[in-house]
Amino acid sequence: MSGIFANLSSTASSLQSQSLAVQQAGKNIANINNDSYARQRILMGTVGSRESSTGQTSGPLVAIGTEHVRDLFLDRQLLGEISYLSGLETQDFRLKQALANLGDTIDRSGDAQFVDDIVQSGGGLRGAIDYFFDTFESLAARPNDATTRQVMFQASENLVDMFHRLDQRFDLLDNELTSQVGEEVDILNDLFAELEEINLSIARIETGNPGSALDLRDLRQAKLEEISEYALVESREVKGSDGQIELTLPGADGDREVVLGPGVSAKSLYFDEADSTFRVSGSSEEVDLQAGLLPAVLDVRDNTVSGLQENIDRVANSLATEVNELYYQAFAPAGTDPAVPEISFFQQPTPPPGEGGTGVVTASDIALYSEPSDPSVTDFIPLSASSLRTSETSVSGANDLALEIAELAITDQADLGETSFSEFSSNLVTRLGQDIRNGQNRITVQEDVKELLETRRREVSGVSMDEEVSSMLQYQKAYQATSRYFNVLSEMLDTLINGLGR
Amino acid sequence: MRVPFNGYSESLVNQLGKLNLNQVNFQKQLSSGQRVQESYEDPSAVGRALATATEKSRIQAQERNLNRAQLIGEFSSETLEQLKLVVDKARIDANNTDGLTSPADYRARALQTNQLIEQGLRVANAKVAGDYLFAGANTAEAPFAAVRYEEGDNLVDENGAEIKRVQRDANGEPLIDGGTGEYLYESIPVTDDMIGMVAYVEYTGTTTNTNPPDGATTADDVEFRVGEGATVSPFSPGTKNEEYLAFFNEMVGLRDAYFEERLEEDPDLDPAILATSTEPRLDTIEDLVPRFDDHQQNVLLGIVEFGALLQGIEVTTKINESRFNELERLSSRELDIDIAETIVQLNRTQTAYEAALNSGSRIMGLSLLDFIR
Repeated sequence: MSGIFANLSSTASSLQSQSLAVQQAGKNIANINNDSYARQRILMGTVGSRESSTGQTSGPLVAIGTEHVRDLFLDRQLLGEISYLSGLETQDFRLKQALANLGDTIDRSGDAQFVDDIVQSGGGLRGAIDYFFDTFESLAARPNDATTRQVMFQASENLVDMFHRLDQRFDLLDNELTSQVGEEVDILNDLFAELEEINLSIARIETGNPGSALDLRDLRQAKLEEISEYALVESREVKGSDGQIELTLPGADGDREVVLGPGVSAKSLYFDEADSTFRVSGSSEEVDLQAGLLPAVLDVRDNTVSGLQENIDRVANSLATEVNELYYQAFAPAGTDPAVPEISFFQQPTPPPGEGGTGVVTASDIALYSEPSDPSVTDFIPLSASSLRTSETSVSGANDLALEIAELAITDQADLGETSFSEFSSNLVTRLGQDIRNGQNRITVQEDVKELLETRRREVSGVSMDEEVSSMLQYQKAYQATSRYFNVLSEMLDTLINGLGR
Repeated sequence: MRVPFNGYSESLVNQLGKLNLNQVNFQKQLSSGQRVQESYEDPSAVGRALATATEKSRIQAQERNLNRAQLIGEFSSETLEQLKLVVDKARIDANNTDGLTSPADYRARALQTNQLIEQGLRVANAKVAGDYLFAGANTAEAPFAAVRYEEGDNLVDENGAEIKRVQRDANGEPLIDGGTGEYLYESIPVTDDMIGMVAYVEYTGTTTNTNPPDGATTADDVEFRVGEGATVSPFSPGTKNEEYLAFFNEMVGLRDAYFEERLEEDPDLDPAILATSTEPRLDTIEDLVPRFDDHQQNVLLGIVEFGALLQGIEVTTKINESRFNELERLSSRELDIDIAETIVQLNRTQTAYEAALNSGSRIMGLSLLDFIR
């Protein structure tokens, strides 16, 4: 009698376990498209055994736990790869923006096809410089032609305007990148706070029941991956802390800065604009984010954008100096023989270094000559279409000066690494293009690595419809069989109680 | 190997994404005709193409200068042709003095010569596109400026210095200074006919310094850059213009000789005494005739020089065109697509895309669920 009851109890336990397994398969199928979900599996086993007349009899089948099918090594490796990829993608986008700012588009539809086509040589700085010198070349052949002088003057204005626009665009980009760093740091700090919340929830659930907060662990991994897009973080589960992880950032000194963990509330990352460094609240140590969106944005700002600005300033200074060295005429006051007004092409450097001047020009302040260099200069001629000089002499059709200035177009400049103005400007475009291309090659490799890891993780943790449906059928059949056994036992009991008693 | 359910879709989406990107790129290439749209697609090709664009632009500027030089050269050559007609006429007239028998003949010839002077000056002060052709570098000012006689003036030479003649007594005998033994001279007042006529011509242009001390370009030597390392000086050089000036002033001298009926040196005068004189005297027609041969040669030489210049310009134009076309070909090779190749690539990608869609939909459409009841 006691055997039947024991079997009934054992059967009930088995039914419950099969039912749980079917439920788990259903849950897995429900999460089939949830990328952050790792499949779970009910672990079953018999509990205890007892002595019987036939020897040792195994205990009832019970669900002894749920297996969370995750590969922690893959998860951890993915965090790093996500960081690197995110940094490269951010860099790619921002570098392309910088390239667009340079404005030297590759558009063959606007190219001159024949030698007598009237087409300007492309946009951007190189095009403006080419146009400037080409119009000087034309002016040398038509020094008295009012239209040519007007075109030349407009080309000069266009060049100055191009420098200003480039400077403004890169200033804007610089400011935007600075704002982006600030905003992204705020988002990252929010993510730290959310991660801390999840970490604490896991600890609450897993107190005395280790490894049981499976869904929260999935959520935490997703959050870590989100955080990894911003910086290269490292996480490790701290033993004896009810499943909590410790999150650290690499310090500049080689140590790691703890951002959150058991007993450590989520700290904030902040960006110190003064020295372009990141620090964690409560610590004076600089953190080196190494990879991810934040260091990438900062790298573009501090290296690419500022490098481009510096190079554009170099072109502006070199061009204004070289032209003024040729064009400048020093002021000689009344009473001197001959008394001459001050004449210059660009406002600065006036006088040019060759005449004792010390002015340095940048892309933001380059301007055409409009006022005397010094209050002592009482007579000057501002640059205009009509006042353009083409010769050192007063002979109307002489063009020696215009020829010399036009010759600058093909003269290598020591300040520009022994390249001409045009070559240097073209090099800015091609070097940036090469940087983008190199980055894109690295992105391709990085995407492959990430995809490989993700594929591997999907193979391990992803839900297979066929597998789950087959498991469901398997557990369903087991449930049916167990039910049948239960019926048999029930009938036996019925026979025993109702049949034998009559 | 386990194949998770979303493994299909992830893999398919990745593959479709790559194929789609390729399709977009090929389509963009076909619609623009360019293999490269952005500098990062092929930085070194773009670098070369940008350098080529700069060079093409410079050649175009130089070609425009060349066109202008050609215009100046052609106009100058045509102007000299017209001037040659004047010189020819003056030379023929100077050689043909047989018909000059009466004062009226001389006066008529003088007036005819004056017409030639005026005509020649108009021709020589020719302009093209606002620039005087025979002014050297001083192209904004008419190069041959005529100084004209006013009432009460005396005859002057090409420098504006008064021309003298030997004084004669009532019998027409030349007067001699008793002290020096030289003839006595007197100024020659202009006749009413000559008032308003050209007294002499001045050249206001520049003269070419063909050998500047520092080897640098000087303001006197107007050069245009017309090609890689090629320059031309399209304006008539100043030294040549000064020869044309000499022609005009000798035309004036010829006219005045006609007015004064000075066919040859006065046989009454002693050549030995005349030889010691420093007084400027009017040239005779006989003196002037051989000089017009030189002027004719000069003008002819000027025409020939412009012919040579125009030939040089033609050669430079061909060189420029050839260089430009070569650069355009280089640009095209760097940046343009091979249409046939791109279409084949697009078709191949489209086929792969369709195959991916087809196979994907087949695989994803089936699962064990379709086969259990």
